[in-house]
Amino acid sequence: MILHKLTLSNFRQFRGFHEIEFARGNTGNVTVIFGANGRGKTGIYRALLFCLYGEKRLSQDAQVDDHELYLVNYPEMEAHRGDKKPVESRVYLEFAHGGRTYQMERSILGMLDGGEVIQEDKGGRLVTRDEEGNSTATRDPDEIAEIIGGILDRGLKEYFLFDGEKIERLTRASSEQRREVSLGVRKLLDINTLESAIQATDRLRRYLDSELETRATGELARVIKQLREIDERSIELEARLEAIDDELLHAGQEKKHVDNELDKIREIRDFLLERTSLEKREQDLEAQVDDLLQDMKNRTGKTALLLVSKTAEKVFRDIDKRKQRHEIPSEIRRDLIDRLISEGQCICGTSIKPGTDEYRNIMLWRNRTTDILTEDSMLNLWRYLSGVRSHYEDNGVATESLLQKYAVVKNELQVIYRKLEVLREKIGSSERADAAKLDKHRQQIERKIIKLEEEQAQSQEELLILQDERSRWQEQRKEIEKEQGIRDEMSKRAALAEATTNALKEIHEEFTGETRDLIGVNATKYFRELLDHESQKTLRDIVVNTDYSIQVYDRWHKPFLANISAGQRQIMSIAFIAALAQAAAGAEVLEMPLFMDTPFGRLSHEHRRNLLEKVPGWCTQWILLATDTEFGRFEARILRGTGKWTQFYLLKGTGAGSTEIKVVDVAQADGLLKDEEEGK
Amino acid sequence: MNMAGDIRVRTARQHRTLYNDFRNFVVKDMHEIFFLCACLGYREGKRRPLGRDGDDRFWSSTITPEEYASFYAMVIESSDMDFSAIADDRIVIATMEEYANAGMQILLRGVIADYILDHGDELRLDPGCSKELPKVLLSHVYEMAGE
Repeated sequence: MILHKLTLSNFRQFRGFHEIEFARGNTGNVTVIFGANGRGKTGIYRALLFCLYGEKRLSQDAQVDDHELYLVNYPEMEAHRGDKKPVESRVYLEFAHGGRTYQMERSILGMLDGGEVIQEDKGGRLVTRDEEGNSTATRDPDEIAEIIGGILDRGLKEYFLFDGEKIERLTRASSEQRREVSLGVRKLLDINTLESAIQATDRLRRYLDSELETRATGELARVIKQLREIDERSIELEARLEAIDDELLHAGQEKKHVDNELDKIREIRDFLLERTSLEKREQDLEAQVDDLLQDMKNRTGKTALLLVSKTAEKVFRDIDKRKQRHEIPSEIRRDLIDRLISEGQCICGTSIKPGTDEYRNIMLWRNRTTDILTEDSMLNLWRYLSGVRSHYEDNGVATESLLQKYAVVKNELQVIYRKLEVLREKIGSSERADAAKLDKHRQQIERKIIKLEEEQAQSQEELLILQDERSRWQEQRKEIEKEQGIRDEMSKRAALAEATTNALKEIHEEFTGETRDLIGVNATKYFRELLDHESQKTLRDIVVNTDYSIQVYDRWHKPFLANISAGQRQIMSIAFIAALAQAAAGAEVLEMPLFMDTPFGRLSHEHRRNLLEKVPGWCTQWILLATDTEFGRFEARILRGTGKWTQFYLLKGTGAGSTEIKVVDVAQADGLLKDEEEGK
Repeated sequence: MNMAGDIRVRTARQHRTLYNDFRNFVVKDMHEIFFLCACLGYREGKRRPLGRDGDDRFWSSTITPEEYASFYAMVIESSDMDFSAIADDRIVIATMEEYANAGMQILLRGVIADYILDHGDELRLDPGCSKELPKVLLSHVYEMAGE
């Protein structure tokens, strides 16, 4: 694809009609479109993608609602607000590919209804003119998509038409992006044609085998049956792997969608996280409160003992004193004294008569004694009360500690309740509360992805085992056929189909392996040419993996991708694209433009210099959409030195959000550029 | 003084449900709230005979030795340190029933007044707000004990 001309009518900030002729051919292939921020550089990138693929959104629009994203020039719609006529926004692109020229045009109508912008697609029209000058035109969206996709696959467009600051993302591609890229690369390299041939011969082989199975007998029948079962299981697994790929792709897209939705409410995500954490703490504390209340239930009786502690102490001391005075237990039991009094004689034989000193003494003794039951009771009570009083202090301390703990926990709970109240006010409406649901949904998707990836790995492993098994059974089959001298037509055809499939598979493996190696070697070559002096000391080889993801190795041959800067990633991606283009074009340079928005934003001066010096020679067409901070006199001087820079456009603001595109002579460019010297 | 376990301890008929509620929400067992009420009544020097208004609430076997010992101490002190007053456990329990009955009245008019639902003949704890009652009661008892 070589871009010839792009025209814009009332597209985005380009009010009225504007035209850009792209530099192309041997005399010059570099076009610079220069403008300050907000002047519409990305608008041109957007126009290109809209015209080719009908895409209205760029990756950077993820957080912009559809109704806020309008392609029709706003001032023009404002001017027609009164007459209620829609404004037509049109993008026209003329390009050449494979000896044919293409004229692609897409338009969209827009008008203001109150404060709202209403837009309506008018579809597209593609005119193809072949080398003989014969033209065909189509408005069929599917046909247009097929033709454009055949020239530059949608999955690969970001390799050639890209935002310079985001191209480094190619080095961070997710599995589904890699799959999309892998499909695109295979299409670009025409590998998918070979894959279709393998599938066809394999189908034929299976058909012939199934026919043979109906006729075979004995051991051969058993072996063919085994092979058929392996084939069936393999097909089943391959289909499942394909389905897993699709499911992973959808899950990835869904996750991205949820992430976009979550990004819109990112400001409350922190609140939600805080709320979740507070609610968890709230639950913990409430459980603690319940436990403490349970402890309190067990403690009420013991604490109540304290209410009568003085009484218990008084009784205890009374008994204790009696004990100390030896009143209890009595030295002589009261029943013995009573018997001596009634008998009127002491044990020693002394007479105890009323009125005598002996009688008075023994009566005093009797009064000090207690009856045996009461005495036993007192002694038991003394024992119990001594136990009770020894626990008073412990009971008091335990109760106080329990009440204090409770107060601390309740205080913290009160603080949490207040915080939660504030947070809930901040989180507000139910619409916002949906973020929690989205978060949950995202977790479910992530779990699904993990599960699918596990299943994918298992299926791939099983497939490899089946392939081994198949080889063994196939060997056995050959031996049996040889022993039995089976060489009928059907067997020969089946064997031929098998051999053809295997040969094609080998070719495929060899070709893709060689292609990957070639891309890796060329990418490394370009990478080294583009890298600054310092980075060259560390970074060495680019390797293309089987899924067309890329890795860079350091001087010690260790993977180093995770450690390189965004600028180095950008350089690496560009080197990969150049190598990919070269591989796709064979010996020649691939006819594909490099359309770079904000090409040097993240690059050092040395990287810029290398890029400006080398890229014009590697590609057929280079279109740069640059701002004054990245394209100054230094860059212009380098680019002019290549002799390939022939077109220069200035995006100039005309007020009220409109921009005009002015063509400027390359020789006059310095007058518009800043004097930014190397090394600054 | 045998710490007899075969005595049916009585409380006011009107407090039947209340005792059950206390067991559910505030204490572990009925004897504990009975003990608490008896202590409160005793501290305040108030007795309230049950007369015909009482019915059996729980067996004395559930009363702990510590509680029984405290009951004996109360009876002894209230009878001018006459230790023979505790000879008969039935009399001791009967005395405590009167103190407990008065003690419950003290609770009802004081600290738990806001937690009571009055259904005419029957009083009960308001289940809607009784969760915190163990703490309320424990704090109250602890404060009183310190006075």
